[in-house]
Amino acid sequence: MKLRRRTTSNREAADGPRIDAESVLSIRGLRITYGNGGMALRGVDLEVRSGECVALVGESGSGKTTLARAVVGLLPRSARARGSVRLGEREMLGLSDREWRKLRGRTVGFVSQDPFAACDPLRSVGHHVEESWRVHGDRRPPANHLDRLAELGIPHPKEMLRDRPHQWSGGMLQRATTVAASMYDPPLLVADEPTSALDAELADGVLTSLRRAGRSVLLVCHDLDLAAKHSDRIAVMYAGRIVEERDSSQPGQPRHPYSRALLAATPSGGGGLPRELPGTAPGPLEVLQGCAFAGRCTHAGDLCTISTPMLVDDVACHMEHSR
Amino acid sequence: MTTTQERSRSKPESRSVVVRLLRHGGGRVGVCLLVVVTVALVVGPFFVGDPNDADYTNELARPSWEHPLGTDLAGRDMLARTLAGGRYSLGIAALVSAATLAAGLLLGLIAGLAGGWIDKFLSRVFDVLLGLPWLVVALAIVGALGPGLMNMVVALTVIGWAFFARLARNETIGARDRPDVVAARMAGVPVRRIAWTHVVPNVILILLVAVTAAFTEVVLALAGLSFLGLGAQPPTPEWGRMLAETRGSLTIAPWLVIGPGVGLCLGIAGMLLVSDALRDVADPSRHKGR
Amino acid sequence: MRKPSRHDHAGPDGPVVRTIGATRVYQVGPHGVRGVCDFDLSVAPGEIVGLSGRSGSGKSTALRLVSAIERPDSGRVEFGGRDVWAGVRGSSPQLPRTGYVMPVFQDPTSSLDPRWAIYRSVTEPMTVHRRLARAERVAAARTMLAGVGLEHVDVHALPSQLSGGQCQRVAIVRALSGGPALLVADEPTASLDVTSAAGIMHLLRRTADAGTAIVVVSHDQRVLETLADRILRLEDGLVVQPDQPDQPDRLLSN
Repeated sequence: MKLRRRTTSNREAADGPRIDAESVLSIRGLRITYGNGGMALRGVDLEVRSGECVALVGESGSGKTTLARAVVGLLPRSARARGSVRLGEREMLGLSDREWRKLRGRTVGFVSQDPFAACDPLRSVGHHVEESWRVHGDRRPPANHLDRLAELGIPHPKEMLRDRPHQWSGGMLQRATTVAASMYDPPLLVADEPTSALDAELADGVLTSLRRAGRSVLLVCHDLDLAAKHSDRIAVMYAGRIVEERDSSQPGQPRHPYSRALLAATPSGGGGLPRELPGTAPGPLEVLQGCAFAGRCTHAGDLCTISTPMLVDDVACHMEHSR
Repeated sequence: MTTTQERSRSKPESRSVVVRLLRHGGGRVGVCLLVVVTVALVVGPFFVGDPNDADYTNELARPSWEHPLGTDLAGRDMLARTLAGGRYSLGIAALVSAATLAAGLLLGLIAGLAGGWIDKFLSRVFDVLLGLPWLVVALAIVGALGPGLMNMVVALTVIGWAFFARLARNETIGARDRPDVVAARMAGVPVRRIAWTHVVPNVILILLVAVTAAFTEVVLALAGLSFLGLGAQPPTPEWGRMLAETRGSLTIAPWLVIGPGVGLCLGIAGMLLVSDALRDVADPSRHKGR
Repeated sequence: MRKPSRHDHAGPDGPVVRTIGATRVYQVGPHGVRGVCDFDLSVAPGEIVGLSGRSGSGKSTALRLVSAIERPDSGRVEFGGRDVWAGVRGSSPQLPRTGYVMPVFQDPTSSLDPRWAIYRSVTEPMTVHRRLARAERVAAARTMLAGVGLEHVDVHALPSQLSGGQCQRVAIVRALSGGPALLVADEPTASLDVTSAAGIMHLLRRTADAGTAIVVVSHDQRVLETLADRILRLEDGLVVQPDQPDQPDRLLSN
């Protein structure tokens, strides 16, 4: 049963393959509960189309990491998931570990946060890259990894690969991990905060490499600026739900009060101090009544404390809906 | 209408190590086992006969109402001997553990806090002691002092404390760069107070983990030395000796191993469970992620 | 644009901290050398100075020299005009008074003693010279925490029960409770969410406005540009382009 969505217009990425309407990742009604009863995701719908990069932005506890891990099958054993996660035509929810091991690398690639933690410090970087095809039983790489490394800015890859991880910078190591994750050209590359453990200056280079290496990308990021610069669309998450989706290139302020608060709290060079947002986000263990953001929202109305706003017209806010 | 209220996170955690230990699943089981064993060994001997009461007309008797665990080669009641023997096997091991803990803690703290030549000198002492084969040292000491339980305690303590001293010293030195200790140093808190309030509680906990984990080895070392005739002298019941004594009679009287065997298992298992639980309590990050 | 430094080397006592030609270099592995050379810095009361640079640029070493927690191989470090290492043989510097300089660390939860209720951590610097009863410490902690928006937090709570942003506020309150002249902050917002980080930046600015000098290290240029009055950029142990906003060079391929 094919799942295709045809839209009337096709958008083009600024520098990259043409985005067409075919859906690479389709998430419907995803709810994830942890062993202790906490709801990490409270109902998420998301789509990543072929050729595009979607950024999941949010703070700790928003559920963005849980979402990314659900897409690559790395949820903890105690987690219970309901809903649907489709990669292309294939339903991924409920697959066994063995099936995931076969699919990871071929159907979906994964780049994690700390490259130094991902690499064995006692083996060479080349060994780490080679693992990506050895783990599937291939003795030869499916594509020319040396060329790919060079393309992403690693000079003299053949010699450099003999180094140990600590001899490379975090940015270079993350590029190597990106090449390893995309050796089989998987339709989707998932990156969980790939630049958070690195110096801020290196982030741009790594994210550009990620975009080049992946056909379609799901990027988890806590930094709005970086997300806006390197993705086609941004999905803002709060308390286990998506509260707003927008095109990165869309001008003007975001519509959801939380997205606006997030933007205002992001330091931008030259401006004054970023704006504070008092209070804390509700955690997975809290039972939510009404909008999760109502307690901290300057525009909250009566309806906001009673009923949970759904994601309609790309924003989940009663005040916006009533406009 | 923003609220400035910030909620503190989830469930209340206890400051007390004992409470956290009891909340830990494995810890609860371990503590229960140890309590049961301790009560049995302290109170039990009052309810049974004399462990040294030999009755050569009743050698190697099967378990019966009169002798629930049978009798040994000399016709002595195995239950009584097991309960009495436990006081030696586990009790002495606990004594040795406590002594090595105390000595190791003290000297390790001194080395770590004093630094300089005191640390250098003490570290050499630790290294030398740790490099010696324990059996040879035990033989030497017992050879000099004569066989017997108390002399064996001395021997095992002399062998064992260096391990804990080195551990305590390393932890103390490592604590120097912990952020909360650095903040205290910069605030001008005197070194002694920093040691007492920040460092020592942590070091004690870590040593407790190590000592409970090493308990098995102490029990086995004790049993081994007794087997060689260096420790408990006959007719003193000691589980290691008792097990060794069953060797010849195992095929005709297999029940002889029940008493000391079960006793050893329960005691050691309880201690190891407590050790694991303490490790989780000391470093909560180990427990997360599953 | 850069706003003018509001306290130009003034104050009746001169700079709070001054380093002159401070050098501290050490070996890392067979070919690696880290540290700073010839580091000059002067911070006036109420000023926030930022140290930026990549990992390995020497900014952490510079911060340790500024906080007198590490001794320079050569050069001087002055607190309130006095060389803190003059005539000192060991590793304890001569401070003008105890608690002259206090730290704020990157990971807030681990910077507080995990076994202590937060009221204990927060009031520890106050107990250096005088004994305080438990009740006094609890009350003082409540007042100080209320001053940073944590009035609803239980002072008997453990650090593990607070969020990262809350812990960092507690850590800053602890650093300030002894009335230091200088605060040294090593990546104070790097482990925090954007909204918590914004709150911490405001708190640091308020602290500086009250007269405390602050030196902040961050690998994130944007944080320093909004928070600091001046930024020194370090590369390979040397100061590059002092006192000027750094040219945005975002297209670094490596």
